[in-house]
Amino acid sequence: MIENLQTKLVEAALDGDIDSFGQLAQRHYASLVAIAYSVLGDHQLAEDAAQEAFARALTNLRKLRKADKFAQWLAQICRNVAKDMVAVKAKKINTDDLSGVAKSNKQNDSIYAVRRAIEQLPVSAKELVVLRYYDGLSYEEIGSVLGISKAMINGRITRAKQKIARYLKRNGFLED
Amino acid sequence: MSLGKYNKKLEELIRRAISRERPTFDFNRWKNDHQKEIQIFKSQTGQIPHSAQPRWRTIMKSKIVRLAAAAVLLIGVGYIVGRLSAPRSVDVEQLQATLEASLRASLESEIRQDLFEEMDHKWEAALANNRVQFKAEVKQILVDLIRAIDAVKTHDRRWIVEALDQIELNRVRDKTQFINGLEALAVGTDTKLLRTKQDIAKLLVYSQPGGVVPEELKSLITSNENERSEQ
Repeated sequence: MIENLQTKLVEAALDGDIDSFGQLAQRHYASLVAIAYSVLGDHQLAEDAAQEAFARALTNLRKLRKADKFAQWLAQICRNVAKDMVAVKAKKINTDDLSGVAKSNKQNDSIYAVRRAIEQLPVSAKELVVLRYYDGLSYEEIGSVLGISKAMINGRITRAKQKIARYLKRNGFLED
Repeated sequence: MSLGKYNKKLEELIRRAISRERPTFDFNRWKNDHQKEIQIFKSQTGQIPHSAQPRWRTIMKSKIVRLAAAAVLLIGVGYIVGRLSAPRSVDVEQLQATLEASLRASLESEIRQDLFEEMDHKWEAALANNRVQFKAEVKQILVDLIRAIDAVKTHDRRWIVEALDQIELNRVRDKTQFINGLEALAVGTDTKLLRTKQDIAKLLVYSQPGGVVPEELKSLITSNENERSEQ
């Protein structure tokens, strides 16, 4: 049902209705920010990337062949924008991201360790974990963005968590 | 690794590490920031609207329709292939003509092949004969050349030997002449020496008229006078 509504909104936007596009952007903003964050690792930049992705999507909307693939198409645009921003980000050091490193108490150490563990996951697994835990997206929302089933999402998230757990245990952050 | 007892703790750790409040999207603010893109989008909307697509595109959206179209296509292709590969009725005259042409073609190529092979053999035989003859002639020429070289060598050797003999003869003759000359010189010198002695002796005798003449001087003077009378 959600997909039907989405398809209608996309078709309306294709016919020139800018407000329909606005509604689509509202629906997918959190997902795009999460995807961008999984690439950039910075909250502010992730939001910038998501908004830039909308701008690109709007000017290239005519290239969309299937309305029901809008979410996945938009997600790919967002990934591309985030990758373009990675090089720029590498030159800047975000103090917010590094503040956790500077602090020495145990709680922050474990948070940092978890972030490191997530960082070491394969790209697709990292994206999935961030989509799930960054904005608390539902499996349905994640499925519409990535174009995969709930069962597949569940399986991949479980495997990703197992890898994170192994990493944390190896480094003494997950005791018996 | 089974998550089991770690699952809850892990989820909590992950949420604490990366979760945040769900971000909100301000579309009006976004429109203000992206006027250019909106203008582009509006300029594109003057083109054929998306809803006014060709009918076939709309029809082909349905899965069943697509499957049916694929099936029709397959059947059509199968029919065409079957028709093309089906055996036709035999035309005897055409068959004869075809057979004749193919026989001619195959025979012609075989005959040509045989001819070429025969010619090759003949050429090779002719070349082989010529080769043998050529070898013999070359051999003869080489033998003659060697003989000529030997003859020249022998002639040269003889000439050298003769020359050497002549040189030896000349050397011996010169040596004899030289010896004879020396002997003659020696004899002449002895004679002149004797005469000189005699003359000195006479001089001495004449220079001392009342003196005693030694015997030696006397013999010298006497022999000188005998020699002069013989000459």
